[in-house]
Amino acid sequence: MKESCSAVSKLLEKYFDQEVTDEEKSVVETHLLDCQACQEVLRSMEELRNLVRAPVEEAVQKEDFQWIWQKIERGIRLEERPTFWETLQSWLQISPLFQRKVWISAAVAVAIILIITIPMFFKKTPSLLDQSVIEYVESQTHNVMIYESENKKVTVIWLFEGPAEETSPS
Amino acid sequence: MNPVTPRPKGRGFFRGLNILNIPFLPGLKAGASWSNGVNHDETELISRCQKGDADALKEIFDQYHKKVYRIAYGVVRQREEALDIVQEVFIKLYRSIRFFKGQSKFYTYLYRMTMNTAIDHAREMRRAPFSSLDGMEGFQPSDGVEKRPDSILLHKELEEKVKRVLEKLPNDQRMALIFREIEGLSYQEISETMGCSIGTVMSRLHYARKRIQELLKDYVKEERRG
Repeated sequence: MKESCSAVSKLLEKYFDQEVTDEEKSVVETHLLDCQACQEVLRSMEELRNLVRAPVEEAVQKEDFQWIWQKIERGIRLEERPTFWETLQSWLQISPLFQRKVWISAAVAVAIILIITIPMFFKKTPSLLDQSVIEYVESQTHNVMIYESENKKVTVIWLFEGPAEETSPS
Repeated sequence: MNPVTPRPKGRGFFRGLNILNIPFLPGLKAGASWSNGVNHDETELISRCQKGDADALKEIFDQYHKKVYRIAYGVVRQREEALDIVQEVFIKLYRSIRFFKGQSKFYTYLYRMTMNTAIDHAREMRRAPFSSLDGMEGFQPSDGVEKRPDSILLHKELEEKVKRVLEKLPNDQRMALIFREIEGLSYQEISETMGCSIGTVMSRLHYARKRIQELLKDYVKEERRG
C-alpha cells in the first residue's frame, strides 16, 4: 500500500537532509515515483538551498585568504606586546629577590622611614622676618621704632630724637 | 563534514579507568578516545595553541578558515564584513583558547564563536546601514550567458532579497538554517553546536524553510521562468 502524502511529508525534510534510515528512504522514494506534489516540495527545498548557498560558495572560491592570515598575525603580535603592568609583574616574578617574602617587611620598613622623613624635608623653616614685628611710632619729641621677635626673646627699641639724629639701640 | 562520535560517558575516576581499556561502563568501548571527538592531532594542535604557539593557530586557520568564512558570509552576506569576522574570530580564538577545556568538540566551540560574532556584526550593520560598492561585487553567475548586465542585476536583486529575508528570521532559526544549508552540518552536529536537542533543530529548520519559501516564492517562480 502506498503511503499517503501527509505521512510522507513528515519524512520529506529529513530525506532532503539525508537524515532518514534506509527503511524511511525506501518509503519516501517509492512515494516520490508517483507523487508530483511531493516532488515539487523537494524541488522547492533544493531551489531554496541553492539560493542561500550559491552566493556563499561563489564568494569562497573568489577569496584569497593568505592576506587575512597576515592581518591576523599582525593582530596577534600587537596583542602580545606586554603592557606596563604585565612587564612589572613578570619582572617581579623573575627577580629572585621578590620571590621571597622578605621584601614585604623590607618594603614596610622603607615605607615607615619615608613617612617619617618626608615631612621633615618639606617642613617650612620660618624666616626671621615672618616671625618678627616692627612698629614705628612718631611723636613730637621722639620717634620710636620697636622690633620684636614673635617668641619675644628679642626686643630692640630705637629712639630718634631729631630728624638726623639717632640713638643707639637699648 | 566532521564525523559524529558518541559522547563518552563517565567522569573523573571512571575516565581514569578507561586508560586501562576496561569496557565496563555502558556505552564505552575499549580503546575509545576520551578527547570528545577531537582527534589526537587536533588535541595536540589545540594544546600548542593554548601555550601561545602562533604556528599552531596558523594550522587551525588553514583547516577552518573557509568554514568560518562560509558561516560569516552566510549571516552578513557581504564580503568585507565577512572577512572582518574571520579575522576577529581567529584573534578571539587565540585569546580565549586557553579556556577551552575539551568538554565539547572543538568545531562546535569555533562555530559558536563564529556565529555569535557574525550575528553581532549583522546587528551593527542593521543599526548603521551602509551600502558599499563591495556589496555589488557579490554573487556573479558563473555561466557565460548569464553574465549579461540585466541578468547580473537580477541576481544582485535576488541576493539582496535573500539577505533581507534571512535577517527577518529569528536568530535561532537563521543559525540552524546556515549551519545546515551552507555549512552542511548534520542534525546531530547542529544540536551540539547550538546546545539543543535534535528535535529542536528539526523544528527550527522547518520553520525557517517555510518562512523563506513564503517570502521568496515570487523570486523562485521568476528564476524558474528565467
